[in-house]
Amino acid sequence: MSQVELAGYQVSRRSVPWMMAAVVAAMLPHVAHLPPWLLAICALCVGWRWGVHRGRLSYPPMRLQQLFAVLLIGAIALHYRTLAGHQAGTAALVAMFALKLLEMYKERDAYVVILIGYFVAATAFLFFFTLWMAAWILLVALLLTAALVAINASLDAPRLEPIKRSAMLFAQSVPLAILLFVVMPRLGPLWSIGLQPGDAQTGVSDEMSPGSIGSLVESDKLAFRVDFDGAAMPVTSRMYWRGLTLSSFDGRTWRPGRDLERYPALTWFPRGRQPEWLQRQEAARAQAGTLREWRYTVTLEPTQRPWLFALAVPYSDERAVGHVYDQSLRAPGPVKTLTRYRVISVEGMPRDPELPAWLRDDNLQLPDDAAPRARQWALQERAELPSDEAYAARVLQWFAEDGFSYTLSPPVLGAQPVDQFLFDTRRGFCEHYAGAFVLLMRAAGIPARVVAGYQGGEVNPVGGAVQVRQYDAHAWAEIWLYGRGWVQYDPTAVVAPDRITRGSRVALADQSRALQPGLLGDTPLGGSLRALGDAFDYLNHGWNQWVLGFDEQAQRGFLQRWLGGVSAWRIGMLVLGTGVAVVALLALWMFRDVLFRKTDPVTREYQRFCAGWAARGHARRADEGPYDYLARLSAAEPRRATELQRFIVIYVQLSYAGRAADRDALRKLRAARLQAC
Amino acid sequence: MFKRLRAAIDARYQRWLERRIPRQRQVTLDQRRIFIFPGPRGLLFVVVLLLLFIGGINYANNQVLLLCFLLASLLNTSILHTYRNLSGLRFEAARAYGGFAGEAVDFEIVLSGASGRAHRGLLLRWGDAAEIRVDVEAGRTQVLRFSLPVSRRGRFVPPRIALRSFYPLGLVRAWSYVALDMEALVYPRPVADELPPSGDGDETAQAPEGRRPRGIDEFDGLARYVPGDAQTRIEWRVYARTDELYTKHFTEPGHSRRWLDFSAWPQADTEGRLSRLAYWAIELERREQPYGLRIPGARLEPAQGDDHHQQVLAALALYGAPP
Repeated sequence: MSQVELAGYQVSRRSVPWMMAAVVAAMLPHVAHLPPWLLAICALCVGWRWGVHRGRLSYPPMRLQQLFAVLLIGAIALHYRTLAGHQAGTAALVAMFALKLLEMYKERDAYVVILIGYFVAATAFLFFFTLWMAAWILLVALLLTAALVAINASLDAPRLEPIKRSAMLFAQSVPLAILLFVVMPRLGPLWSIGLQPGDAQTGVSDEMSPGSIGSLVESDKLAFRVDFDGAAMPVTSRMYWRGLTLSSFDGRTWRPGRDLERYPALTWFPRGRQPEWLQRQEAARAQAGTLREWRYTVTLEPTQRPWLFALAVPYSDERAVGHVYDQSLRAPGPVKTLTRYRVISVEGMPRDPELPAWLRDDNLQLPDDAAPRARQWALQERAELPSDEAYAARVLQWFAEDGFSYTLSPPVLGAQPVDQFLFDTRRGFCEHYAGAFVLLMRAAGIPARVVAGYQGGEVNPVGGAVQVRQYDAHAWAEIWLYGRGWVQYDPTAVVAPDRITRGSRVALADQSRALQPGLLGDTPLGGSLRALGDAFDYLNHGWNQWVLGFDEQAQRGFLQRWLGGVSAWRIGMLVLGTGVAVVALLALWMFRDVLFRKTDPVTREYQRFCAGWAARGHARRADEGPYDYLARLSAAEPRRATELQRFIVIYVQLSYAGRAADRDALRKLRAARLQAC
Repeated sequence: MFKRLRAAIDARYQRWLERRIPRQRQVTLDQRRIFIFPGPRGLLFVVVLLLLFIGGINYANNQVLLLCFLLASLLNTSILHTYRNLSGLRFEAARAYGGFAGEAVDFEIVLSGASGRAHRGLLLRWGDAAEIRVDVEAGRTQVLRFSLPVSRRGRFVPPRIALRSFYPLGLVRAWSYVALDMEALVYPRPVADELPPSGDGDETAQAPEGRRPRGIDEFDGLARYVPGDAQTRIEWRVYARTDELYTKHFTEPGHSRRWLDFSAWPQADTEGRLSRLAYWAIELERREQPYGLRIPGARLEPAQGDDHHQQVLAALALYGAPP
């Protein structure tokens, strides 16, 4: 009886390889952010447990494990300076996960490891927001579930039975999961999660000094993605994705001005409750009906910063998008997860046609001792020219013609960085040009500010989304001209026209590793790899759009469309009704063999025969074959022996013939049965 | 007070079970007979789901929520699978073997599956026997033999078989209590004692004509082997010489046919007498010496052999029992 055993409580050996595979797969995504020493300890634990499984090592003593656990938690707390927050929390979880492996003696321990495993798998989603990671985590969940199956499966089950069964379970679980995802109300957070130490902020920051944007350009990570409604979109050279404006200057570093202090709370959009300045802008927008409008959705990767990027002049009717006085958009807090927002941008709309005095002061401010040579130059040049526009053109002409160059590795600048850059080195990146330009404008009495954001982007041929990457980070200027309001100037464009028309990837191709056109370059293979990459990006974008972007608002819109109205009652009925329907369908499908059973007619005749004799007190015994039964019946009723034998012989012939009985044979069997009963 | 309440509830529960899952020779598990609920590990799993849900909404992370919902759905699916694993499983009573009080009786049952389906990870506990794990593969039958300890003489009706299964994920527990219509005879516990000569004095006189009864005590001679003779008595030396099988025969001096009489031990109580009778029935059977049984309500003529032995023991087991 190989299939019978005493019910045991040890970890089934067959489940260990599945479990180890699942554990390693669950830990792998965290390699990206865990400290190396912790990774080494995890690898050691996994290796040790495998050694135990192969019989080469024994479990470490319990005391040692406990000591180790305490030390490890202490080390993590020291490393992250906290144990709260998802960075340190995840590290502690992974550490305990690895240690628990060495304590896995009993079946119960194995369950604990697997359940923690599901949790570790989920934490990867706090750091990664791509379809590929989601697919990987699905694989981890499949392996963990296979380990569960392996614990419970029989010892002589086929080797791949666990993963097959796990895959089947998951496949059958998908419809209900999707239903829950669509209809389960998205509650607000139960408690607020502050910015934790260790959360890496990415993208454009709120201060700009020489070199700050240059460091971003080294990265080809996606910053955000834009889907324009319809096929029309501006040419990429005119895509200036404004993030924030910087008006305050200390001689070296640019910081945000007082726009936010002046109108402190970010102003949200509910109509009728807009502040006066936004109403004015709205009115101007209504008057300027002929201006070009762009409607698009931005999917922003987490930055841990609040800026939302958009083309000038942006509006959004989303509640979670704030409008700042300087015509930029702002999230209510740091962007911690992939965030989607809809924007309407009105191109060429006048901004601040009349400049308030406080704003004018802000945008003319210069430290007294900053850049004396540049200020002197500015005063001289402005005096010789008729208008502010002509002066701005003169500055651009100077940049274009007087030996200025665009480089990712400019020389280090000293105490008067702007003077040194303008009159000595003349080598700089966009922040040098934007900063110097604004300073030259202010020195000549023209209100001016630096704008930080991204410029350009790549259009994905698959799906048509614009992808903006970190190397598209850019800084440019806006100056205020009488009668026109704020006007955009990009001094970098005159120094390195390629940067604007073809992107920094081309303009700086020989300077940065991230900007290389790929290993295979323009070869046919390189081309098809790029096409594949585009297709992947498109798929990933679908994941962003349909899964990550399915927030409360999207859910409300979706349900509104399908239910014709959203109320607790309707949602409740929908959840209940569709939930029951989905589960019932699954059950129907699983039990189709029982519910729609068709007994083969030969077996049915035999069953009737047995039932007939059972009624006369000669029930067939469980272990009795047809011939044994025949012998017993014949002994009990010798007069019917011939008929009995006739029926049994026909039955055995038909049922072991290996093919379906034809109609004649069935008729014969039935006749024999009627005689024999 | 509580004890009585408990006993009352227990009795009521047993009656309810008796109605819901009556005793039968053959039981096929179906929705009336299968109970299902998440097991302790399933509840732990639900805790993990709740934590994931809280994490998902707190970080506004749809990926975490999706994983949470997928796992919640997995739990739901596993309820169906665990249920299906038991449904259609057939228990059939096969055989019951008698045993002596204080020892164990054996029951044989046959497990078979619904057509084309396997039933795995079945945990069976029957009475005080250790829990075993069985897998019934598709299209196979599994014959199981359980030894149940018994203490009291008479008819033994086994308790319900407790069946549990956590297959496939260990999260959900499906269970049933299967009552098979079987019973085994429990013979009196054998107690050794002197066998006083029965008063009839008819043992040797009534010996069958010609041959003396075969006994073991005193060598009597060789006779040609008759099928059924014990192999241990074959005279192999003769066989080696003549190529023919002979068996050694013995006679017992004096009592070669015995009556086992209920009144033989006047000093013992009823159970004590039955125990001594059982001992001597075994002993005389072992000596291959014919014996008869006389107890109030039953009389078995002296004879010998397995069937006779069983009849004697059955009569002892059922002494005083309602028919």
